[in-house]
Amino acid sequence: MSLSPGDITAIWLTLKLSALVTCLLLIISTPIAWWLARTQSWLKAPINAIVAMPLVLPPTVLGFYLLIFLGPDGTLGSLLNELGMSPLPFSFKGLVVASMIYSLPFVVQPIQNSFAAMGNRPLEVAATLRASPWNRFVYVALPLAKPGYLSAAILGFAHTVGEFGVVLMIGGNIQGETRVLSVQIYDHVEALEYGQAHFLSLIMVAFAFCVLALLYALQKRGKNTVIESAF
Amino acid sequence: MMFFDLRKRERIPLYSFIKIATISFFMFCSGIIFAEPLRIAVASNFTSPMQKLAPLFEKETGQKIQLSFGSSGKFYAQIQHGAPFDVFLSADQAKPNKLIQMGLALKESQTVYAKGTLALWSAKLKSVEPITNVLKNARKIAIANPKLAPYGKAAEETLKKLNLWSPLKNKLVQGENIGQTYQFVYTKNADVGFVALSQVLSGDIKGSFWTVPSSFHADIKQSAVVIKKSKQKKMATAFLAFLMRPDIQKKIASFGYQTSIK
Repeated sequence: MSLSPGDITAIWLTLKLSALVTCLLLIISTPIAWWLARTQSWLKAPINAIVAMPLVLPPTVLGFYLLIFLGPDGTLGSLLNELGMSPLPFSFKGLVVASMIYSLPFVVQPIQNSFAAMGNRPLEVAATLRASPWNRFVYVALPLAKPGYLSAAILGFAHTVGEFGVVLMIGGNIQGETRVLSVQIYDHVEALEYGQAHFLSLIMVAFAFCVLALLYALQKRGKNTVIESAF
Repeated sequence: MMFFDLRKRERIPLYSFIKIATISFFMFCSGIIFAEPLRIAVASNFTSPMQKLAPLFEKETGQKIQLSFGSSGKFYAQIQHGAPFDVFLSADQAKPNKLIQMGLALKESQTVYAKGTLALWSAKLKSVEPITNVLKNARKIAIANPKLAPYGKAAEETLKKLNLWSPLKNKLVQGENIGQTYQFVYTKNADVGFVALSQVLSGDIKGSFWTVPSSFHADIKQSAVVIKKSKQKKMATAFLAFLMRPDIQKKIASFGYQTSIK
């Protein structure tokens, strides 16, 4: 059994999507996680809840609302339209936006936890040594939060690879654009091509195992445990 | 206070209450066992007609019906793996045929209960004619996945017949089934789409539609079978006979299908 060109396109697309989403999420999650870890504001609980919501909501709910909000009649869709941007549903860009929402808690929470775990002490010590707030963040906080970033990247990437429901609802199944691996497998199963479905599914199973094994291996090595900072 | 007085006087009412409750509980349970519902797997495009027809059958026979909606491909796979359906209403003929070949469905039960009608539908345009222009000007055109859904295959054949398949291929977005295709057009994310006429007729927003002539594509013969493992073959067969009755066929036609009754 070998991979068809369609399968290879789907695998490549999935990797591209996951890598891009992970990079973008690491960037935007940093200020969110930093703020959530240190704030005393009453807004902390509601913002935390919003970040965690994709964990609880079924992908169908996310997909359904994205389809409506990003559509020509939707708030966001009409806004983008007026700005002269192409509509997001049925496009790779749309999948990136949807995946970022979908995987947000998997990236924010590990980073937030490691920021919270380090406490104020290292930053205060750095401050007595006249480190500026920016230097304190870059040279003290970020290195200490490394295990958190590692697990955030791994989980964010893996979770995006495993995304299915949202993509199915706003993707439109376009080869090379929105037909990711999970949708390709679904299509094989629906078309009764069980051999190919098995083959691709096995790749996914192996991938999931490797990712989690890596995560636990890192946990064993590092003192600041990766898994603990993940959850 | 009345209640306490009763309990003080004697305890029998409480015991008999428990007894009655226990007996009625078991009667209730056995009632469920005896009145097992007829489980029917229905292809997505026939969802709305079935929701209207099932209560009629229930009323006539007193037999409860439990409906499941989804893609024919999924039901085919589920039945193959022992899903407890009594009747399978497919969107095509191929899957019931395969189930018969595999010895999972009764050959003599196979019935073409409706022929599907394809429609080009837009929720936002005032008119979808002339169709060639509308299709050429559309940004996104929704169809059901031709590999999976009979209505998708018919849409592909129609576009090929109009010599528009290759020029418009880049504009196509695919729903996994006809229900999702409807959703794409309904939310106006696709400008137009090929859906089942039955969906357009049952939907709440109209927009505009054009009925695709049946000569543009091979017939969408929707076929039903009784599943061999069913414990209610008699009732299942009766249900298929009910679907083929002239008055019901007339109703099915009014939902946007072609039937044996014109």
